[in-house]
Amino acid sequence: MLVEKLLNSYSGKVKEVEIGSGGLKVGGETCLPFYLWEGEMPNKILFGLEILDQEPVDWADSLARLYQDVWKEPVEWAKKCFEMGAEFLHIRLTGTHPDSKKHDPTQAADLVEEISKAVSLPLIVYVSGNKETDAQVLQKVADRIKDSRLLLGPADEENYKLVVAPVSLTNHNVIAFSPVDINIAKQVNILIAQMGMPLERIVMDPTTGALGYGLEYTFSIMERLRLAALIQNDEMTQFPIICTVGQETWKTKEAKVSPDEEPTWGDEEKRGISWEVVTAITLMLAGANLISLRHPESLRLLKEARSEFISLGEGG
Amino acid sequence: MPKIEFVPSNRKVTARKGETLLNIAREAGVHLNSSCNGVGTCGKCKVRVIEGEVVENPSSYQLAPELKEKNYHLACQLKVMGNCKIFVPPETRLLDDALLEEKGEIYLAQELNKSERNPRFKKAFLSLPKPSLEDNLSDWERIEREIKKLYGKPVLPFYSVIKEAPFLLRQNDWQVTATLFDAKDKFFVSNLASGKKTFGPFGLVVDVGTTTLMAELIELSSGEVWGRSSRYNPQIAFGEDVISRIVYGKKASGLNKLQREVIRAIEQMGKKLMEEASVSVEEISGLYIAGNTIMLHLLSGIYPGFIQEEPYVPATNFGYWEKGESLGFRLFEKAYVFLLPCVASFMGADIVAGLLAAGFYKKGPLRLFIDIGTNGEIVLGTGDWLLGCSCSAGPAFEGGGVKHGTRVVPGAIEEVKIDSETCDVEFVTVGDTAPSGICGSGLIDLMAELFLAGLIDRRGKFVFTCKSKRLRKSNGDYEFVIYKGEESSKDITITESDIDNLMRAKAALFAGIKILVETAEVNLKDIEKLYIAGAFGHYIDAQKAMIIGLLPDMPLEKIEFLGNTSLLGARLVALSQEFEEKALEVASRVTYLELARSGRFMDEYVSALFLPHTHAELFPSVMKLLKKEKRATKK
Repeated sequence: MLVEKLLNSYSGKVKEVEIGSGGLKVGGETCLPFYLWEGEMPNKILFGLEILDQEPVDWADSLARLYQDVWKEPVEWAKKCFEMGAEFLHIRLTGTHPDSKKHDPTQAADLVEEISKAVSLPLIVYVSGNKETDAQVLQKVADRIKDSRLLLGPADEENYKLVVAPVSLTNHNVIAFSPVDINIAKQVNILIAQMGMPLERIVMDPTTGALGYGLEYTFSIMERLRLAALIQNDEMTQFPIICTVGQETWKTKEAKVSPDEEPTWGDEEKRGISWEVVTAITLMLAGANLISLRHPESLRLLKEARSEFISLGEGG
Repeated sequence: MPKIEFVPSNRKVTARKGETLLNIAREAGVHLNSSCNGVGTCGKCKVRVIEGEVVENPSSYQLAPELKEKNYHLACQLKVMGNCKIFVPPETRLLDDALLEEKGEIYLAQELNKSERNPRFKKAFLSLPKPSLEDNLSDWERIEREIKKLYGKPVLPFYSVIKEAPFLLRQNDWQVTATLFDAKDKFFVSNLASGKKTFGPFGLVVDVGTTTLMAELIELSSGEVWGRSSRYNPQIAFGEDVISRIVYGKKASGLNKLQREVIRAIEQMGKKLMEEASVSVEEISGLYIAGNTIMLHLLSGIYPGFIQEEPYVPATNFGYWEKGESLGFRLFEKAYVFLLPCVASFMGADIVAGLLAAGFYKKGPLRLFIDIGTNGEIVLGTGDWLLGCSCSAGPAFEGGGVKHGTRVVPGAIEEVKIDSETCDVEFVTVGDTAPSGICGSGLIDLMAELFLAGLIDRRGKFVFTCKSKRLRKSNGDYEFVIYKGEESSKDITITESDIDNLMRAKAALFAGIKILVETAEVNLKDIEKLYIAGAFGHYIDAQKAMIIGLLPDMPLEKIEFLGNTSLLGARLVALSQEFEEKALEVASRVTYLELARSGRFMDEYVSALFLPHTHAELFPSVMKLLKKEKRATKK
């Protein structure tokens, strides 16, 4: 018996955003994640690793064992991540915060420039979240880097003007941040767009909740954003999405606590990786385009998962 | 030829020398109130000549000296001789209270024609045959026989009537006027008065608002209003909003105090109205009281505390007759009081009365009724079904919680215009006096104008790229100066937190509208008519209210302002038993939606916390206007 396949058609499309230096793009999908029998995902979901501009203070032991030989030297750290297979680097300039005073805006720009020369990866740069220093840091970084399209942020409803103003005059992209709220997500996008930021240079960060720590909220916000983008063709939601999975999962108790404290929980490193991978897979299925991680094993597993999902999707 | 400029509409026209200003205004499409049709007797077309050459006909109407000093004249008696700049004050420009009342009267007459005027209380003149040995019925049976003869219905006495009858009948040569209470299948005689009464019986119609009390003295047989009075609700001293009133009512003797205060205030209003109209207290047969559910609890001395506790049920939804005495009335102890029915704890008899006044008891197209106040009540429906909700919008649109907010009093800024290039502000105050604050309509205008001028962003936050000197920081809050006083402490400003409060108020109201519409599975654009009630309702510029997303985007002709519909609806009930039934019917037909239980409220609320709204497609005409404005500024 012939059964007719019922297919959804989508009127909207996620915008394609160019990142890095080689014409690499994210976004552009015309269907829900991996529904490849109904549309296409012209660009791969990318997995990157996160680095800081200074030695981390609260990272899990499993991560310390991996990175402590390099994490005092951000450029070396970046190189290591590149060798581990990262598809982009997520740099957090925590050292530019006045409390830390590690880097002034010029030094921060120097550092980003050095990293971008050392590794040929797209870079995401998050400032420290301080009103006094962020605008200057962004200005310096955005002006310094010329031959690679950065993703700069996060711009939220409070600071969006400070963040967007220096970025909009360059070729770089901006990341619109919202606190797990679909309405605010859209509002921040509108506010940024109204400042004259071209729409193909905006990426959304809807706030990541780790498994057990609000993952289902992030999932449903992302799902609704994608339905609005694809089905309702709501232009102000048609932006690629970044999820900061590494940061959120590796601060959970489940990823950090040693087996001495919780003997029944098993090996902490495996546990941390599982937490990171489960969170990332879930959000990949909700519509993430960029996922930043902390552990290279998670990176390896997720790349495998990505291939499998694609072949499943293509098999229809 | 003289050039005439009208402000604040900024309409400029050329006129013939010697033409009257009223005619010029009419031709220019500038509306001026005028009910005497330009013969100079009503005084409604007064305008101020800012500059220019005019000559005035002597007219019978005398303007107040302080207005004359300010160069005010009647437009109908003013001839232009050269270029003029004319200021049209709001009371000349807007439908004033009297006109609104007139509108209400016309409306009422239409409603009442359809269902006959048929009040509960009727007057019957009785000329009784004197008793004799042959006709030896008792006094009461004699009255009973006569009324039965007149109306063919059984008659029952009030005890007080039997007690008073023997003397009254004999002193008045058996000629008395009885007041009858029509209980459908029978009559009660509620009062006897000496001789033949030409007028009456009378009713007192009362709206017990949380803030304001209003009362009307009505002659029930003719339906005429003999007097009107209003004053603040004295309970304000015990808390400004309903919740603090409930809290006070829970205290020992608190309820008693609240009840006494409001009863006394109603009696004072009634007394004043009776004195002015030379009506005696015996002639007041019925009181018709509308108000929100909590106000009616307090007025009746019923414990309001449980309304505040889950699941928020009232002791009663009223909708019945009670003797004045048992409600604690002294002056009106013998009168009967009808407490209009409520829908739920937070949807009271004021709204039910409003629905009557707006004709929601009739089946018809999809309509929306909004009462804008501290509690915004919204009802949607076709008459076949009605769905209502109440959202706490806060007092921002009444001027509460706003640094320079005020009620509609002389000096309140009620209209604002901001030049998007220079950021200059023009405003109009109530009574054209020095500004003392900003009232609700002024706040709506102000927000819309700030937004149109690009001075606030879509979140309602000030945009600092503007070079205007009017934007400044004061006590840690940013503010925009509307009026520069002699010292900076006397400036009138709007702060960023004021705008936040207004944003929250408008978001709560719009979220309520949106949830009703979605729950009913209809579309905003299917709404055929939007009725707005509220004490300041007729001052709102609907277009501006749409720009800020307070009202849904719809053609202006679909919007109608009704003013105080609570009083209007209560009057309908007073004048017709059918409306008494309809009130009960409408109250029971409204399905009350508890927004707190709707999981969608927060979502809708946050999406409405944007100008005009996060989903711009809900406001197509506003977005069009914004685009036009933007293009204009770019030029």
